[in-house]
Amino acid sequence: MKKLVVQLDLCIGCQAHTVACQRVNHGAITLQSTMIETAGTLPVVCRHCLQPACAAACPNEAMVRGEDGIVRRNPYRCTGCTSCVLACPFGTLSAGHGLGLFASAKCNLCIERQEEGREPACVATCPTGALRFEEIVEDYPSEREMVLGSHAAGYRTYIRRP
Amino acid sequence: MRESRSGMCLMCSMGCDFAIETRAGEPVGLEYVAGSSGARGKLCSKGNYLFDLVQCPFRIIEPRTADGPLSWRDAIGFMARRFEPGLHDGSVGLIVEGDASVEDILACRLFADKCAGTPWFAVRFATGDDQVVKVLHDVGAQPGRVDAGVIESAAVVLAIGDPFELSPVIAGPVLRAKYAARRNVVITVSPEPNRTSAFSSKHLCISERAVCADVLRAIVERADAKDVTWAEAVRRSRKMPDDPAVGQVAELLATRPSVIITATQDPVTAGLAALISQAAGGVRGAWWLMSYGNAGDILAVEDESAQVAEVIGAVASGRVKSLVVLGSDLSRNNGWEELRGHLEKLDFLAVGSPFESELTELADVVLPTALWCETEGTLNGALREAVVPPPGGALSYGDIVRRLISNMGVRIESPQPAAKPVRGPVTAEQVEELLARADADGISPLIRSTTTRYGDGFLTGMSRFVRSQGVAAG
Repeated sequence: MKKLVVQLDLCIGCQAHTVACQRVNHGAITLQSTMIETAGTLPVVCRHCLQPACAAACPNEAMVRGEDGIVRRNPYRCTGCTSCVLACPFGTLSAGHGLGLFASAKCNLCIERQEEGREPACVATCPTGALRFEEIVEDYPSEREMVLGSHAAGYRTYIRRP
Repeated sequence: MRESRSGMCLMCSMGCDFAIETRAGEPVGLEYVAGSSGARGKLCSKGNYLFDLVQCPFRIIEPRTADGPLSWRDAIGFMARRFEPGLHDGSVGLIVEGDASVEDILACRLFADKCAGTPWFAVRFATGDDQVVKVLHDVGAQPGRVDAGVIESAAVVLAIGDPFELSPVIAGPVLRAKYAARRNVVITVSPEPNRTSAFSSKHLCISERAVCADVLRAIVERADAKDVTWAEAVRRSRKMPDDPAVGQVAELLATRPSVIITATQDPVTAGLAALISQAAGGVRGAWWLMSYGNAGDILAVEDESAQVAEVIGAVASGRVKSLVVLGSDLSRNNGWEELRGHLEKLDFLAVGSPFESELTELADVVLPTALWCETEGTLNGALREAVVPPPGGALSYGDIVRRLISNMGVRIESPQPAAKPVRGPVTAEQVEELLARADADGISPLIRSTTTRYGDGFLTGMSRFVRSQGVAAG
């Protein structure tokens, strides 16, 4: 499936992706940024894991991995317990971003835009082209890595110029 | 009915294209226009906030006085009576924001000349930008719209200041140039390490002005002695630092296809960069990024205008008794508290503004003005359309002044777009004059920080519009 990829050589830490994400999601930021001490600010993207820890931790089955591979949050089931926030091994989730206290924002890879033939908003706006939306082959070397999706999280999500 | 209208972002001077989707005239979406010359279909964080800007619910939408709202007809009539010939001749000041179209600025100038009979007309840019505009005009430089294709094909990119911070979109073509065939060089000249220097091949971490002055001196010496190469001339010039990289940069600019991108609010540095770009044989393009509103076409009308500081000085000295401010939020100026005291002594203050500010609180008349994306005219060297209609009764600066001129019964032909700015040759007189001005009265203190019009929180996503008192109900 297609996932978000960050090319580190091109990321200047402008955080335009955060603003674009906030705009298309009506105030909610689903694509976090993190400050790495010396490297700058980088986007923290959801890996849409094969066996997502956030879904396993959710007591209300609000987090569901669909047949298309996208891990979504059902806003009608979410109670804002933030279990998913604690469970995500990559720190991609946070709570209380514009959706109120009882819901946590979740990246759905801008599925509505994809249906219209457009890229996710963060990819479309990235001034340098550091954020890309690419097909990632999920050939996990071990069951543990498959559970965490860390194969994609490691050298597939954050890449450098060859 | 869903429609899409394309426009040009003026949050900085990159001139990125965008499209706003409207439904029944109301903006509902913002999209990026692929294939534009500068941005290639991208927008930075500031550009993304454009949607918030046009949708901001706290706009001023109707004229008002201290007594309450009034119609445009009454508001214009109220102002016209204050500016009747013979009543305030020479004592009227007019300040208009630099994001106005050329036509609007010409209309304002005509009002100042023909109706108010005053020399106190000034175009205001963000702090420092107005002086940069003035100096660029002095040296015959023409800031134009950024051409990403030229940058990507350049072998040498010389960045002065921090272009990535001021206009993040510029990073796209610069980094594509850097990684193209791995032979391109990106050089940053700045006093301190910054966002741009982090991605540069070489960072000349010396005083901006010293480095530029060294290279400039080399140009002058080369003009005197044709057989001396530029690099040798740089070495022979005064104040030559030990860093051999300066000579290497001069050599690269003279011999390799190069571009110069300047993002500084120090006008001397900007002027020196202009002179270098005109003299160095390899330079294919040079751009001066400003906070917003590239002054490419505005230069021609800026030449004979007063500086904002001069108008403010006239207000302080009592020579200006009535002031009209269109678009400029002077309360963001340094020394606002002192200026506030002077403005309170004015006989009459009219303020046209899209948003409430401390300045509008002082005004006798407050007029709702349209944002640059809601008006038509020549901007950034191109004719642009209004992307969305202005809210309520908001008018462009030019429309306000034209109504004022008409109400005063003055017959003036409709302002036409300005003539093209003149690009002059580099002369030793220009060089000496520029350096003398820099040394003598310090026309330009080095301003290292860059300002944005609507606050500094855009890059962190923390910028918000704050409701203030006295906003008309929207």
